[in-house]
Amino acid sequence: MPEYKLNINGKEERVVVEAGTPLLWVLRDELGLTGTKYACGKGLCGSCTVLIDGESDRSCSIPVETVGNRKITTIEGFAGDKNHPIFKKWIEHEVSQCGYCQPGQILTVASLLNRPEKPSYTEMETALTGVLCRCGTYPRI
Amino acid sequence: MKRRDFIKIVSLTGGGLVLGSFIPMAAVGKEEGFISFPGDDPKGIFKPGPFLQIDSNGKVSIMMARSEMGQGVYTTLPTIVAEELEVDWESIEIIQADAGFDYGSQATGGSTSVRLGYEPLRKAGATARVMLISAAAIMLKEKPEVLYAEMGFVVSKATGKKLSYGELAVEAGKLPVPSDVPLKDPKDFKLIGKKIPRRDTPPKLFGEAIFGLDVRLPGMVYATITRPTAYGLKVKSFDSSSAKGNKTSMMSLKSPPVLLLLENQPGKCLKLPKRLKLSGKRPIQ
Repeated sequence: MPEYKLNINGKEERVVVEAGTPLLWVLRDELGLTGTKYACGKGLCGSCTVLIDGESDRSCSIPVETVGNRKITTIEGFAGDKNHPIFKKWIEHEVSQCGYCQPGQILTVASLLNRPEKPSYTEMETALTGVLCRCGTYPRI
Repeated sequence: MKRRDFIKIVSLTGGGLVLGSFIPMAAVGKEEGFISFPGDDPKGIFKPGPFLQIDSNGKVSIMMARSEMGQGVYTTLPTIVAEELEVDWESIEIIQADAGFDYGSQATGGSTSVRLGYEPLRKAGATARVMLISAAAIMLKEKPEVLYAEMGFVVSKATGKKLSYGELAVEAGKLPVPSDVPLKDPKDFKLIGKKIPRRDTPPKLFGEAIFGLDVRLPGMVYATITRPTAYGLKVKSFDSSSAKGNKTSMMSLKSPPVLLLLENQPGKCLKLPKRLKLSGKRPIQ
């Protein structure tokens, strides 16, 4: 099996997995980073969202060999700063219920805020409706 | 005495005060309330496991036999105990209970945890408080009437002396369990009815909360189910070589007629059904 060199949360990681293995399972099964969640496995729900060079993407649909030397940030990496304004707001408003989708919600917001221009209300709404929350936490988000 | 009001002392190694009780889970039906106790020991022996523990360092722990799924039981249940026990609610450690009859029913749902737990939890907290005060009366050689509990200490109104719950726990653990303890008057509540930040929120946001799929145990395998493609089909044969891989194994079940594919990692498990060759036959009518 081939070895891949990845940049995860600012650290170089080497993993030996079959080509075609989704990044999600490399993170969860090989590296033990279980904060990235598995739900649909088809890129539809957003639970597995990670940041790739600062932009949100669905790790279940990214074959490991296509990652290259781009920088991956998982929720664990993003939570290196537990006082990040997004976390503060999420705690203040007690956004989460079951919490399963929240890493995906938070990283989607982080991606929006990484853009140079301020996102419009519609852009925010479009981005966040793409991360499914069955508890229905959208009003608080 | 109603069984759900029953509190007993449980001995655990390590010393301290350990009270056994549990939150009943009951069928809602009869007008007077909750009638049956599914989850009790099937032999009918009521043997509550450790529920509330105060060790000699003053650490208060409760065994949580319910699940935190975002409804807030990790916050509400310790708050109810803390109200009667007179301790800082945030200092109460929650130990997730294993599965076992000693904890009563461990089902969580139907908004029952607080509804049914409210009284037993208050009683457990109040019982521990009364026992700690009795222990302080012995140790300080004062009358229990002049003693009161506050933020993890028993204080004497007469002399101003005080002892921490940690200093009292071992002595309190030797005392008989009082059967009818006074509960607080709701107008004296310091915690119940106040907005308290949920304890489960931060770990869920930081990716630290452990969900079912995140649990890893030694030697654990994951199974994927392959079902028949039409109703009534049975497994006739399967080609196990089609699922050959590292540590892969397969099982065929007759009832229900499914194939299980076992893998040591969930990610691998999900890939397998595509590679599986399966043939089936319709049952003879």
